[in-house]
Amino acid sequence: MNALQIADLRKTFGAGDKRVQAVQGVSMTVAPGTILAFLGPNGAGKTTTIKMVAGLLIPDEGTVLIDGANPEKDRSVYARVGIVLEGSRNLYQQLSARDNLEYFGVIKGLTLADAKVRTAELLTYFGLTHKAKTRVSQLSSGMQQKLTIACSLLNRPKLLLLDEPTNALDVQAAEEIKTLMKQLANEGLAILLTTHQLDVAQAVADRVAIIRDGKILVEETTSTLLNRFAGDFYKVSFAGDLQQEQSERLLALGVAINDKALSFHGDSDTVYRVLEVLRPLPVLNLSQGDSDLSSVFLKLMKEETSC
Amino acid sequence: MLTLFRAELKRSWSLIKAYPVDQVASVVILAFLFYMLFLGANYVAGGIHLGDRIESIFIGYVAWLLMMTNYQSVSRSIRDESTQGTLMQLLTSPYSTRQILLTRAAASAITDVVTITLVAAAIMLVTGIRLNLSLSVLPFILTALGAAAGLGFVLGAVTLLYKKADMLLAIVQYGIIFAVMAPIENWGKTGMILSALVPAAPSSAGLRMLMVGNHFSPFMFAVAACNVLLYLGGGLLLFGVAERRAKRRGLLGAF
Repeated sequence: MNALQIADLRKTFGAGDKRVQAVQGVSMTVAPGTILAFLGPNGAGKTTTIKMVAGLLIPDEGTVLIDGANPEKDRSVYARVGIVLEGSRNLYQQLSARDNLEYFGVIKGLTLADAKVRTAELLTYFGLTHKAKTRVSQLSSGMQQKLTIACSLLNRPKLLLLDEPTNALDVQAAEEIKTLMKQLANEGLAILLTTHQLDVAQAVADRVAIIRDGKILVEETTSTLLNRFAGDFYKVSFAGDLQQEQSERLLALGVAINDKALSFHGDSDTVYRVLEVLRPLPVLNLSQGDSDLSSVFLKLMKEETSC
Repeated sequence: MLTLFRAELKRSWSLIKAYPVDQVASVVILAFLFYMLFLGANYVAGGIHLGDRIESIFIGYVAWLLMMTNYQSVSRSIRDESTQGTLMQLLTSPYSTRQILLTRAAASAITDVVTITLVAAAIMLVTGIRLNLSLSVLPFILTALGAAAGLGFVLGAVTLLYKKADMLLAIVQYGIIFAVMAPIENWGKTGMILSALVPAAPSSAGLRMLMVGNHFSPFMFAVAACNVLLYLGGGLLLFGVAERRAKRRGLLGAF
């Protein structure tokens, strides 16, 4: 059985001229032991979809089944879901790490005794035992995020919803969270991950779903998606600094800019157009190679805009 | 539910431990405020002994404190949880939001009763006021707390849908002063029955009859019980409707 099954979800806000179709027939599944990266630009419908999955928003149409049960009709299903939402700090800042874990353990349906045992286990698992009595407000951002994820795991969920889990974290903390996500998936957890950090998605996701204007553009395994776009993928490294106008023209061509390196999908014409924009900066290297999720994402967005 | 109650009690206690100075300060300030009221009343009366009247005011003050803290527990919980970013965790619990907030109100009522008892003891020590204290006050305290929680759910429903309800909260606070101070026990049987429509008013009147007149009125208690049914039942119902409407309109989390 799939840990998450969404079928034909639809949600519209407002009326008349202000009517917005935020989600238009979204369907997807997440199997146990896999990570599905749910990607899309701002306003694409990601958060609306996630909120409907979490039961925080009632869909106009469609169904959400978590471990076979509909959260709208059966609240007990929440005992099998872990949720980390972006923009929510998810923790009581005035309470200690231990107090937070024990309290949220009960809120997630555990007995006090079980919550205490699980708290000790998770503090050890996340390397936070020495911070058990420390107030959350005194923990670093990385530790707070670990603690938030620990809270979402108290009830040994079947499904974990992670909304931007590496946002605002330093490189080391983000790497730790990435490793943790893979570890949890290996232990059989199904994870629905939304993130704007496409390198994070590429590093951890088994499958990718990309949404735009409330509709799913693509949903397939990460490797299949990358291979599909591999043949026409180019990387260019250059010296010097890009002018603002150059950056804008490159982005318009669907080029991903990463410091002194560019990556993009296209034919030989596109290559010459990119080089023309770069002129007169010295080109150090031009190669055809493996695709990455950032450039695939930009290409799909560009294609959809031109349609 | 007992597990949830214990967890809420532990959470309340942890918050008190986190800010002990706040707790001591609140006892001192609340006792001081009543002492000022007491001195003012004596001054206005030109030094005449106020007798039962000051005791009635004192009971009204204690009932008001009890109601205020309990009524704010629900509505402030929603606002605080949403600004703290923890509301979503409560909304995605196997327990319903109403269960969590009602249990929290009950748990915080216990810590509040301890605090208010300390305030009352301090006031009695300073002013020389003496009351008839017995376990028979408990039914009226419970009905007062129940009605206050119900009112809290009504305000909680407004907070869920309209976010900013601070002005309304403040206005209701003044309304509660009227409710707990109104001398319902002197209004005759019809007045007493009608008082079931005013939140906690019959409970406050019952407390006065008991603690000043040393008389437990079963009739007043029956009216107070109806008052709880009306406010707590209505509040829970309204909150449920508001929660569903907020979920349909996407209002949750947009504080």
